[in-house]
Amino acid sequence: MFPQADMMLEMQQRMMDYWSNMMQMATGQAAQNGMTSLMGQQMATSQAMAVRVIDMAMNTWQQMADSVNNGESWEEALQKQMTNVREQVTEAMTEGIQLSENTTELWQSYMEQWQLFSTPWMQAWSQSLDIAPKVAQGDTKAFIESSNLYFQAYQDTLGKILEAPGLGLNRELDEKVRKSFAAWIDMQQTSYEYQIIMADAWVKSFERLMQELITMTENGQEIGSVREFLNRWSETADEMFKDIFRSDDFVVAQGKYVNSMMALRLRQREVSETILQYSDMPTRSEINEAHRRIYMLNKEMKQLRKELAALRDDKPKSAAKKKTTTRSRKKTKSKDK
Amino acid sequence: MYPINLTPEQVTDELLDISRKAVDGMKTLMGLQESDIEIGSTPKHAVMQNDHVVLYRYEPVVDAKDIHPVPLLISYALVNRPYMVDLQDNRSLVRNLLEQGIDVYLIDWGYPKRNDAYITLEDYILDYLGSCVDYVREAHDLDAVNLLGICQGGAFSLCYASLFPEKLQNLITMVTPVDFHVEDGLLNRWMACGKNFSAIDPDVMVDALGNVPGDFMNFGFLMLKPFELNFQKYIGMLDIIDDMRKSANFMRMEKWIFDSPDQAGRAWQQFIHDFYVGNKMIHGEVVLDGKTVDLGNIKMPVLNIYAEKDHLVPPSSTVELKKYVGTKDYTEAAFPVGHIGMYVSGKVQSQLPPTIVDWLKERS
Repeated sequence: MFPQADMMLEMQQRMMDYWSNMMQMATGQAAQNGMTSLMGQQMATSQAMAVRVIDMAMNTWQQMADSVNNGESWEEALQKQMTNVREQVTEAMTEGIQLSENTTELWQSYMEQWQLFSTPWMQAWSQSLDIAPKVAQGDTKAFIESSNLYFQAYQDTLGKILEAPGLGLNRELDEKVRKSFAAWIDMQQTSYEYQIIMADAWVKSFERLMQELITMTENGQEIGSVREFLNRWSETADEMFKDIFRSDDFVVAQGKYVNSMMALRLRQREVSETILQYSDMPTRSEINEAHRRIYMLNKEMKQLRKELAALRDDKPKSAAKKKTTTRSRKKTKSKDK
Repeated sequence: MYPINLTPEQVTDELLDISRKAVDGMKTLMGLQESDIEIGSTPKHAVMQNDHVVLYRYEPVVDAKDIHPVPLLISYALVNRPYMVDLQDNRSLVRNLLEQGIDVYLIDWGYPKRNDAYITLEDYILDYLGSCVDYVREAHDLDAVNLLGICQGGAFSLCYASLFPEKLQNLITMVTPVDFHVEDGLLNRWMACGKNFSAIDPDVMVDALGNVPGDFMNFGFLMLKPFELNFQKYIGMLDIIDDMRKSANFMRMEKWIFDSPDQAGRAWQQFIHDFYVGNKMIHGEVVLDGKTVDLGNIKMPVLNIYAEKDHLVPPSSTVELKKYVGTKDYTEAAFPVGHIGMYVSGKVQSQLPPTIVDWLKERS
């Protein structure tokens, strides 16, 4: 029905690439900087989405119309199309998230992701043991070499730590890694549940749009422009998503998803901190504690300054001394100070 | 039979026209610099700093003899930068107030860093807001000053006014949430306010993140109207993209929307627990440094301004204030706009400042 959709999208991308190149040449810096670049990207993304929606709506409508021409009612035709749309949307949104029942597969999948995020401190640490004596003797080059190990360690993976025997760390570290893995599993599950609800929202909003088009047909109304169609779709989708977002199911699923991500972050921190401790590096927990103590000290200092100022000025300690009249503009004179 | 009266050729033509506008728009965007979309440009100077919080005083634009003797201190929300009240020359509540002779101060809450994660609501309301009020009082040799609290800043102002009523001559709240358990509010729903099940856990968030990222807050706000705010807005932008001035205005708004500070962890945690989940403010259960917030202590005149189409702070939440304040001089003023429209709507710009100024001058 709308065969030019792919061509339009390709044109959009070429325009964006051309514009980005122009920006780089004009400004001498990456086109990713600045609001103008972001705005251009947003516009292109919105237009790409618009083209996709129009394509999907027209294809769906055409298939519904064909069904109606073959004797089906609008409701039957709509239901059949929505089943197809739901399958496609759900599959697209949950691809890669659905859990495998194979634990080994899960473990490998988890470690692949973990390797992306964690730092291979252990490799750097074991190598630094050779350099440590030189560093202790003040050998600057050895210090730099030791530091560089940790920079290089960022590029490597954490997988070697779990394979390396004889480091004496496995027991504690293994337990933390296992808990981290369990938290990751939980996050995958909650993510899947969240995506299912979002997919449902997409499908229902599209279904509502189709319902509106059916109503318009029955009332002899027409949509006369692409903009009018997009506005109608946007308003319809916002209304449907608002209904979904207000539901208890969504609130619970969103809460579980966010909470599981936070729990995973905390578990990953435990693993990272264990490794950092072996490398004699400060940990997040230690820095947090330092921040907390500084905050408390700052607060105490402020209170002491206030009391000192009050003593110096021979003022009452309370800062909110009531004046003789509450509605008077000017403060009472020095006898009250 | 077919409600979409468009042929493929018409669709192609229209999309090509959109693309043509986009290309023309690129030229406009290329002509804009970051300096063209500055926000908060009305002249001001810093008069006090308390940790990362800065108090600004705006430069008067009228003769000294025409300046209203009681200054107005503005307390904005923490979740966005306060310069929405001074967005641009012709969209500036601050500028309009200055032109009508009001001496305006603004609290800039700053950008909390990771080391600010332990800052509490007590710090914000009693220390930061309190020290700003005291500064303005001392600077003008006054017992009491005027306070304008906006959105979450309004909730802070209500708490402060309850605890230190003698320091405020008049109190203005604007688009301020009061009852956090009204059914209309989607934000309320997401925190499962008043429900017997759990939603997002603020405690584990703060433990994991320290401060709550501004991007997280932004994402939540955008999801309140996902299609209008993430899609339709940028399609609509094409209608103005060939106009440099209008494009700059649009991008200035974008800059403000996405310039969201992180939220100091403990303060955010407290606010969610006590205000959203517990709805404690209207029940007299908010306790700050051992002092209980009782809205009935607010005896000074109150002007409660709200937006009738506010999707962030539903009017049903704001108007509840009338039931709880102890003042006999309570006024409401409603405007037919949304939450942000209160600052950027051209119509409101002409009506809101005189509403505030006339109300203040009647109570001098």
